Amino acid sequence: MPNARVLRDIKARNIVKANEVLRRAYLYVARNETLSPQVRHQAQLQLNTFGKYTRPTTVKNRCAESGRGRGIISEFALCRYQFRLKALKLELPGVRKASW
Amino acid sequence: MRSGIRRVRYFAYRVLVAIRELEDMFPQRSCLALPTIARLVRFNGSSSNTSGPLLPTRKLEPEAPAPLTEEEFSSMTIHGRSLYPPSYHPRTHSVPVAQLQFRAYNHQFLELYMHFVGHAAAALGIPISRPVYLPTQRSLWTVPRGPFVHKKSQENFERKVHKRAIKAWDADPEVVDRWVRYIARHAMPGVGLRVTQWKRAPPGIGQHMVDAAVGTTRPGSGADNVKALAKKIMRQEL
Repeated sequence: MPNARVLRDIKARNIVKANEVLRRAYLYVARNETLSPQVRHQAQLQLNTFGKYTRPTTVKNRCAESGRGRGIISEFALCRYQFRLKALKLELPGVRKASW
Repeated sequence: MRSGIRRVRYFAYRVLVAIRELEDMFPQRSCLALPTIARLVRFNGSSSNTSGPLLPTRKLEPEAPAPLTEEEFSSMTIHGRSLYPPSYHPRTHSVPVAQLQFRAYNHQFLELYMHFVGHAAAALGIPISRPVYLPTQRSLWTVPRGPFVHKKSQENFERKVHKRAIKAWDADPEVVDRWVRYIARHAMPGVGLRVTQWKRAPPGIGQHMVDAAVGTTRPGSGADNVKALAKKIMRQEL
């Protein structure tokens, strides 16, 4: 069973994907300087009613093994310690101990 | 004045020699140059070329080669040729037809695969380049050894991507397709292959591609859809 934070992140990713086009449309209206200020303000108020999981900033890369939020290597979706453990067991293709 | 005449005769003789040499290299084309030079020689009075009216004695179009028999073809096979580097066919027109790029994390299987690809191209008669060694990509990760703090003791990990490229010229697209399919079927473990092929297209291909793409845009994505949705929002809600 993955981490509670990992589950929250998965939920966020799904909801962001579902609402992205709608959110962008409202943003387009709110940021458009050719429209009247009343319309723009209305659009911004509507945007504020969207929940937090619709915002793409809620999405955070997490370690696939431990759920750690910091020290993530994106290419492997692992935190630095898990990356080291797997690399030493030769479970990561092509990765070897560097020496030069 | 006499030296002048001798010089002209000598010059004519040298030109004739050059023409004869050219004849050996390009049998069809040199017969055009002969009549003028022969006239020059006759005017100066030397008798080096006193044949009658000059006519092309060689046939201008070569005959088509006879098809190979089974014995001839099998006798041309070099047994044990995989022990040696592949032979490379000369390019006929230098028209690029394909580029193959190979990537692997280690170089042993890659070198073996290059050898195999070269031999396959030689067997099919495709002119290819020698394998080009593209720069190796090296990714380095330095991570702390422990799960928590102790930043001062770290460990380095690297990953090298070795790359090779082979370019092919002049061959028929069908032959190149077969070569690529043969190579892909006998692929080496751990070696990735990317093929870029160039084929001749009929005129009007651009318009044809545009017409084909017109009906296939997906709805619900892209900047235009966002703008349309924004307009709808403005009308309905605001």
